[in-house]
Amino acid sequence: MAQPWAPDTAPARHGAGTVTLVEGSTFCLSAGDGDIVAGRPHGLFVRDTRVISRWELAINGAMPEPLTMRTDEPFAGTFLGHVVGPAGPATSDLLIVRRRYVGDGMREDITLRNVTARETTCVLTLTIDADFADLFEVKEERVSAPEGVHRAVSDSAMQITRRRRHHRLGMTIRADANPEITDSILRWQLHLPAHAEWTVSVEAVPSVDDIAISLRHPRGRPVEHAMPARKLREWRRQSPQVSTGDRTLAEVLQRSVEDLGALRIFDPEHPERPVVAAGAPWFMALFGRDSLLTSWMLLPLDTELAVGTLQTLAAHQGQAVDPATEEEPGKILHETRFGPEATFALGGRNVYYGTADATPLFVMLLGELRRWGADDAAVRALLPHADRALEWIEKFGDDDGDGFVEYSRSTGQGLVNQGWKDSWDGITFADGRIPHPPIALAEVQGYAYAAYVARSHFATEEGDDATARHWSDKARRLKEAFNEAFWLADRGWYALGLDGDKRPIDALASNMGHCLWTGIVDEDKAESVADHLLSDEMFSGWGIRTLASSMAAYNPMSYHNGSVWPHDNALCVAGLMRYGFVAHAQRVVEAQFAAAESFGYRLPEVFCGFARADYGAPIPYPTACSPQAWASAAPLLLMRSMLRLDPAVPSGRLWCAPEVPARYLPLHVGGLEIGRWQLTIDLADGATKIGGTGARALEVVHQPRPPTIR
Amino acid sequence: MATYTAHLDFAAVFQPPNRCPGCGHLGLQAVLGTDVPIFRCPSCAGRWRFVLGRFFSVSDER
Repeated sequence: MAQPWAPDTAPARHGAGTVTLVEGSTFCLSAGDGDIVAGRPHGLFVRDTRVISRWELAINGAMPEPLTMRTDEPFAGTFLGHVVGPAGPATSDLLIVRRRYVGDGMREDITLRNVTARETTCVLTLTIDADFADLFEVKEERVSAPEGVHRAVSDSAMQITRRRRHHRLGMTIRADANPEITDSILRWQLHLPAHAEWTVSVEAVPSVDDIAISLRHPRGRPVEHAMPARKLREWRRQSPQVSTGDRTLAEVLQRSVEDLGALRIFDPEHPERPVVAAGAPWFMALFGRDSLLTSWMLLPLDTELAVGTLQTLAAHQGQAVDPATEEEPGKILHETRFGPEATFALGGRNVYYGTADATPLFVMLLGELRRWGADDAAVRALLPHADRALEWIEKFGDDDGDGFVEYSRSTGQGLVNQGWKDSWDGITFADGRIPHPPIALAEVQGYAYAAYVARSHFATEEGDDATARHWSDKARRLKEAFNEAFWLADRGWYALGLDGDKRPIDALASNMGHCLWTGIVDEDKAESVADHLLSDEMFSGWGIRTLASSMAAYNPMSYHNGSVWPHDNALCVAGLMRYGFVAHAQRVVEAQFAAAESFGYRLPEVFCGFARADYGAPIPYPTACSPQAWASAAPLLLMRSMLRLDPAVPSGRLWCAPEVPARYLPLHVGGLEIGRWQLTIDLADGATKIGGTGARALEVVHQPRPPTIR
Repeated sequence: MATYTAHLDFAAVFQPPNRCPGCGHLGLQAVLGTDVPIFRCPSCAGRWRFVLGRFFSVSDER
């Protein structure tokens, strides 16, 4: 098997000004002038393989001066440059327009325009290479000099091939206007009369085992422009809506709708089931953890995504033990890619199971889905999968039988860390040491606890008291053991995990915020946790950092060691509200929406953890996915947390006790469907009105739901 | 005081495409059995893929 499952999932730094074009599983990363520069994490990627690693244009041996670029559509970009005239940099002789279209390969239409009143001659060259590196190799900047690359010129085309993992991968370059072709350069000698224009079209066609992949935008054919889906939708009169006096809040929420819609992907077997990709451009695939948490965050507004996600993940639930993919019976997958794309870079496998948290999150989401009144038949059909997931937690997840869920990769190809902080150095001791596995993460115990509680509730509904007691007892024992083993009394925070020797991994990190969210935290410890999350070391002013600035491994520009992740913050806010720390939660909420405003009303996957006072604006993380599904969903959970909205449809109750910062008032929330009831909330002038219409009214409890089970 | 409204109709966003981007016909159908889902319009026979929130026409040659 190749190395599809990286020890470090942090995207490589491709530098400021990088342009990304995307079409399906094809994407192209280039410099702002359009060049794909050799030696940088640029390239044209098709089916997770870099099929173009160099694409550099020159006029008379020199790079044109870039002027501007534009991406009109996700798959198309236009790059403008010029050749400086003899009178100096303010004058131009030639304007170069590069129109690029990606889709199962690439096409570039290059136009040279003589903008002077005199004729001119020039030499246009395009230098091209292909290394057929895996996406993961490029992303992690571990590409080595490619071996076995063969170059040839034949049939008026440049051909580059390489044999990798039993496949002959190829790239064929063809162009108009009879270029001179060597094994790495296309060359045109041009004569341009005054004010004349000349255009050539170049196409890059990848192949597998000598079978060419059909370009989506081949030469000689007009490019059919894409139609934004939103133009085809008609908003339903009764759709949920939020009206507020705060523009930022409304803009961020609206942006979430469009971005999550854009990340919608389709399982070829079940196109009717909604599922979303984790993020563009790097993670256009279904990830278990990401999709489960995204669905969870959306529940007040949509339960169908959760149903579709659970059904899709259930269809791939582990059956057998396979160390290569880390599949185990009952386990929920880490990542899968639909369709044939997977076979390119993933060694013929398209599902990987290396995650410790997706399985308990699966059960947790199903339980929460039930509370929101989702279709009873759909929920019941998924319950056997939840039971298989629980079997995995007890057997494979807790391999040593100590009651905690741990992870340790089964091969050298697997992910080193298998919680959400899955970079190789994402879990560290306070002094910076890397713990050795198996590692039991704090938040994963919280997810397992919530899964046990959810299963107990299902049994209670069915009148199965013995099963209900079994799972509630199990939850209680786990909570007691967790608070005994993970609590660091001398520090006042929870260890972020236990290492292979059961020693607490003592770093101060955001993981314990997730524990608040799940209810596993003892109430007498919650205040100290809340205060530490909002301490100067943890709270940057834009959000809660992944790791405190006082820790040895802290780096505000790292992926998981000091950066700020919006989804992480949303879960911490939900936890803070759950335990009644309203002021703490509101500080984080306001910080996150302020950050979103700085990012054009879209929260990215992650941003740097510098203090707000340092620069006055949140600093982007260089290669963050944007949009990223759980970051797009985070504002919705922030909203729900401010409303302290918590239904239990099976028992006919709804807890709702809003604590919304004044800047967002007046606030109207309408059209929320909870079970067979439509909820309306109005907040203004110190008054709160909660009402609803529909077939089955819920009893509104004007208090927050109790944080823990007593 | 200005009021700003966000329409949060996720049901419309996540439902399979229904309206043909080419002719506007309601009743776009998923073509099953393909590697990547394609949606076909029974009215104009147009075929479409949905990627990053946009529809792409699928040419007959594919």
